[in-house]
Amino acid sequence: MEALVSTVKAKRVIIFGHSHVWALRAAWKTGSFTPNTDHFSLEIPLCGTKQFPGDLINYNARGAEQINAALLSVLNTHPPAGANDVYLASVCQGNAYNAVGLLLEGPAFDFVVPGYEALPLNDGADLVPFGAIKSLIQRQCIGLTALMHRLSKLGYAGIMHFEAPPPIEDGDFVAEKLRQNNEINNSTAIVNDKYVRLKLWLTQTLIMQEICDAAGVRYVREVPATSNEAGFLADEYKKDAVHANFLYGVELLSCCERIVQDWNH
Amino acid sequence: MGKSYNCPYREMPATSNWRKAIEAVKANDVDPVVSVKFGLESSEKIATAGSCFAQHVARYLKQEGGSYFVTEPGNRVLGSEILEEFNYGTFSARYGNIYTTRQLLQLIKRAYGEFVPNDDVWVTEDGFVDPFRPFIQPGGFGSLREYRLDRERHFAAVRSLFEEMDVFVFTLGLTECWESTVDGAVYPICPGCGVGNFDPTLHRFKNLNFSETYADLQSALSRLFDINPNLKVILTVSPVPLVATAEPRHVLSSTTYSKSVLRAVAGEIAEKDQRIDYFPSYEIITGNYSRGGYYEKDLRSVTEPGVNHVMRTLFAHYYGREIASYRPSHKQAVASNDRGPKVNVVETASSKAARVVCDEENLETAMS
Repeated sequence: MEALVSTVKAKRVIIFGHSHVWALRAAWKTGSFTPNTDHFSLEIPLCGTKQFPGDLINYNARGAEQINAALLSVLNTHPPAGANDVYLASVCQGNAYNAVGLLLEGPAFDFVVPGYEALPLNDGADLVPFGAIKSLIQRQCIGLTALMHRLSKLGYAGIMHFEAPPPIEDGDFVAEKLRQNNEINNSTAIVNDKYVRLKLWLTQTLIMQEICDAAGVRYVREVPATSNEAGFLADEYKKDAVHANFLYGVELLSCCERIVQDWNH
Repeated sequence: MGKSYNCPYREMPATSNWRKAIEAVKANDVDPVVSVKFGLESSEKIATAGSCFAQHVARYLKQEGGSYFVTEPGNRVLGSEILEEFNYGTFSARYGNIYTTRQLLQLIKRAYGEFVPNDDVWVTEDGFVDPFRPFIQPGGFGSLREYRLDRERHFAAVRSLFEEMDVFVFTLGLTECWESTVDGAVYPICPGCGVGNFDPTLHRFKNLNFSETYADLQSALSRLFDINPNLKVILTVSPVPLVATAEPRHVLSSTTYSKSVLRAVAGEIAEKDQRIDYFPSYEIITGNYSRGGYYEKDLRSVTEPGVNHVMRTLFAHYYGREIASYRPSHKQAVASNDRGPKVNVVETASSKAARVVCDEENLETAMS
């Protein structure tokens, strides 16, 4: 009897991004995550700003867009047409919402996110327009918008973008971790209200959804079962002030595998 | 006929005499203010409201060290660019353009809960819009809850403004307006022109006449004096012509009618009350001594040198000082009368800096 030759084409995912990728790499390198099938493999060549420095998109002297050099080098190593179906998974710019309001650096503010009107509102805080907050976060995501459009034209089997994990509910934990890591050296620095941080994250998710929809990129908003009932990152997945741990990485990679296996071309 | 030696005009000051006050004076030096009823201190909190031109007053107060009073400044997390985009600080509170005296009166009543218009909110594809400040928020409010909360806080800011301001500068802009057929609520712009939907069963045109304009302004100011007895008021009339008229007549005739009514009302009201002064920014810009040179090419927008002339006159009389932005180059900005219309040659501020938010201009877009 002749040996059966598999006709299933292997699927390879190239994951790149900034600081949130560390949780994935830890899950992968420690063997905490193992794929369910031999036909799935992944690589995490760009992780954090040291390996993935600079803007996502640069402009040459004639104003033409150019993909970040480190990412371009990876793409050349893993071209879309090859023996495997190659998928790209971005975990970029997950902290745009934290840059806006992880810490309270002026008078307290709060806002109403459409679709989440029931979330508590701090009556003593300035009410700022949702549209203004959205605009503030959007301005930090211009590079990602351009990058998603560029990547979607390169002919890869699929492109997905993973949202950053939701914020950590416990503000004291966040403050303590920031101090431990010398990310704040001012003892008077105030971590923003937990619901404001959650609303900022929700706003970021709405922006990322729009960016991905416009570019034809699959957007993965939440990794199932990693948040608590209120929508914050569940305690077992906390790593530091803004990042999730390797257990979260395991969940995300499992989620990634499921998505790729079920990918409907 | 013998010579006359006792003509009373002979004893009158030069400012009363056209030849001495206008013909013999360089256009740039024309100063139609003879006296003011009160002076201003830099520490006095000045609130501004009114038509688009009111924003120039606010801008100069900010840059020249006057105490521009803002009770709805927005949270600084948004940064200056977004704050400006969302009209924080454009007006003393985020009420948008207040073109008519009736709008002012109704704003006061609405802020104090004395009038709740039937027209509550306009729902658009982009978001929820406040019918009475339809362009205050780009894209509208994101949810009904946000809209209601913002309006509540806005009214609180308006009340603080009225109760704490020392000086109220109100620029009268229009007599033509559109009102609700249900309860007479007046809109800053005709519904359906740029935002909202026009419904002839719900909206009708109204051109406020002298008596109505007078009564509205009188009521509004009386109410403000009740709230804030030590208040000083400066009334001005916007020199900006109408974008369009809804009267069956030429827009030029409608502009003349509206501005004449507003000027007469402002003068009449100021005449009767020592706490109220009239400042002639309208005359400075529209006066024929400048040969139309204080208008841009559209003959509607006011040039920066024109605004500068108004503001340095205001600062000179009320604050007793020159403004820093009155640089020597300005002195040649408006040619003397005999040199004709070489008047708008000097633009000291960039057009961006001089940008004004003018809801009425949405009519232009809506008509095209």
